[in-house]
Amino acid sequence: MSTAPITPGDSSPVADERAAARERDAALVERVRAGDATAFDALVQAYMRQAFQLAYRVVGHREDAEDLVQEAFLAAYQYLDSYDATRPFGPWLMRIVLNRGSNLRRSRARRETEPETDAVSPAPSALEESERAEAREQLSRAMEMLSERQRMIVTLFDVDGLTSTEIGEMIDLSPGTVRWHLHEARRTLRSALSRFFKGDV
Amino acid sequence: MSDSRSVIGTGAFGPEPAHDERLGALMRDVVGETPYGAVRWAALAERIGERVSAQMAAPWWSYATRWERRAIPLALIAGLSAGIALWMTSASSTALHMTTASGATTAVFSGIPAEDAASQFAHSITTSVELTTGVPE
Repeated sequence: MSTAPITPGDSSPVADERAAARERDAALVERVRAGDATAFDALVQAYMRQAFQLAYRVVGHREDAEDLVQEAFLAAYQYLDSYDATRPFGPWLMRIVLNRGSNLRRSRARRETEPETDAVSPAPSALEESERAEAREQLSRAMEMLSERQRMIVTLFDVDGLTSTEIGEMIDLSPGTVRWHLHEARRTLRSALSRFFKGDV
Repeated sequence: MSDSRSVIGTGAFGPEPAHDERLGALMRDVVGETPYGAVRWAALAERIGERVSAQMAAPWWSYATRWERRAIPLALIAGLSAGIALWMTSASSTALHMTTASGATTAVFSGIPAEDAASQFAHSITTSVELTTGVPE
């Protein structure tokens, strides 16, 4: 990906980069409105990965996530006239991903598949495998108790390693609100896993 | 796991919390990593581009189909309401004219001078209109 729509931190170069991304997006949207399809390709290239990351966290399945990304971009194109070009394009697109993803998630029975991972990450915990399987079971149930937003935030933060600022930009929330949701989600999950995290909780 | 021990300095008002590696590892087991490597990005971008190009080339009436499910019932309701309103207005106005016109005719036939009958006719129309529009006398 040539351009990163979201970058961590709040330093001045990052702010400059965001402003540049916003200007670039506004110009691209203007060109798309004028009928230039290649400008939309540039928007796709800039936001495809981020949209996929969010889509995967909402629907939990790679193929569904790809379909969702495709649908979201198409919807973005169809409703481009309603997009306010003074605001960043990314969060607007991510809102479409979220809304459509929630509908998709509700309408389809969630497929139970093994998670597709890029690489097997070493487990830092010292839990035995059987205990670990039980912990996964507990965690899975606890995650179902979370609201969709909290589940997504805690996953994006603790699994994908994003910051509260990055998540906030992605789903149009302030970093403080993201941190509050994260805190609540972690509290629920840790409470469910207290037996396994005796030393920490 | 440290930020669950106190309330102050946590949540929205606290600093950026550290990533919880232990919880993250367990969650990774449940939800998996985002499978970037399994996605054929070029193919996905191409699919999106093709669909957008098809949308760009779509005839103008294809946009109407997006709204037909909402627009058709609304148009039917609006048409029906307009028809009923028109019919009721027309019926009440005919009734008023018949009453006032017949009153004037009766007055002329009963020997009242035509000027007086006309004046009464005009007065009755004015009164009827005021009653219809709700203007207090």
